[in-house]
Amino acid sequence: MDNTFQKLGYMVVEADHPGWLNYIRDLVHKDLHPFSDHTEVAACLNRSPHPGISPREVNALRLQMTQALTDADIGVRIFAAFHETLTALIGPDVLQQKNANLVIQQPGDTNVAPTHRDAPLNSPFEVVVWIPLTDSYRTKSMYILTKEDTEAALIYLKEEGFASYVHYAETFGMPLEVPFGSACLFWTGLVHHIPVNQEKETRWGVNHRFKSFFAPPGAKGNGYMKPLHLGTLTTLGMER
Amino acid sequence: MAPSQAILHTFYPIEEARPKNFYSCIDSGSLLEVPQPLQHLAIAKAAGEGAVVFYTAEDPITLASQGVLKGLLDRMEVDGFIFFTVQQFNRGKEFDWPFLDELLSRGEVRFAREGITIEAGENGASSPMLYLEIL
Repeated sequence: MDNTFQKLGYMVVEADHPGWLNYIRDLVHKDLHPFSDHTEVAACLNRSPHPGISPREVNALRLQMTQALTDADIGVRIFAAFHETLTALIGPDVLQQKNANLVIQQPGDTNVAPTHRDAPLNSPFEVVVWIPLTDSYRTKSMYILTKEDTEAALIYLKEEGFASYVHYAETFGMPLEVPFGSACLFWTGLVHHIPVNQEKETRWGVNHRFKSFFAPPGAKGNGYMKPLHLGTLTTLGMER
Repeated sequence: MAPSQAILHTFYPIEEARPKNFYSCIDSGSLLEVPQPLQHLAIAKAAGEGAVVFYTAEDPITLASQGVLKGLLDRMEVDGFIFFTVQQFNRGKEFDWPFLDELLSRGEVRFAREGITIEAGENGASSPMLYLEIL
């Protein structure tokens, strides 16, 4: 691994084992099939749900799919997909978040998460694996700030307020160009901004957080985490 | 108005039939004591028959000023706001009455932990139960 992650706080990487991403996408596609005219997976996701489906119905669909992804323990699959890269970052003793997160962002939907950073509410020792299930580009994506720009944005938040902070993130955030089969791995301390999707396709994605078993938690504590893998020494140490 | 609509309107005024939509404001200042899932449960219960349609949490930098929520207000189309606790208004130099009144001019305000509801348009300082909490 080069020093990109250390320098910027994020990196875009191809999956070490992309078959697991197909598995996750197929899980979503399976539930989506009744809502789409398209049979090919990528076209189905890009063109769904139908514009006629109300925001409340889309949210109900998202919740149903999120539960299915949680039940399938997709964190294990995501870790397997990026095994070499994540093990190099975290080490052998790994906690993963308990619940899956699924994002459906239809064109023109203004109901987007506000500009924010995950840590220090989440642990600053966590990594977020941001996985598009459709190719992401321009506004069908997320804008991420580098470590350096995050520091500047937080000064705006502190000294000039939320509107200036958002403006800074919109101006200096890098739109992530991530094709399906790759992911953006980013440090939880980075500020990120979700633009309104102004493209003609829907953005589908999952994101999942991992950290070392021994790393301190953030303000939320460890309650949203569960063990994914413990190394031999750690297992022995816990036997005492 | 069609007869069936007239009857419906007589017994169930339309504005009362629609469940209220709330914006949920969890307290990022007490997450160690009350984890986020518990705050969500308490806030969902405080919503009653209504629905929480969105939520936010303050960054540590804006914990005292509630700057994130203030920055998002003009984007919101909700019937009210549910906070986890009254203390979210009490982390600055003094209780933030002006912001509470600003919210009340836009909708009702509920506090899940303390079980307090203040109706839209009321003056925050006129709530005796709120007053008791911040004594």
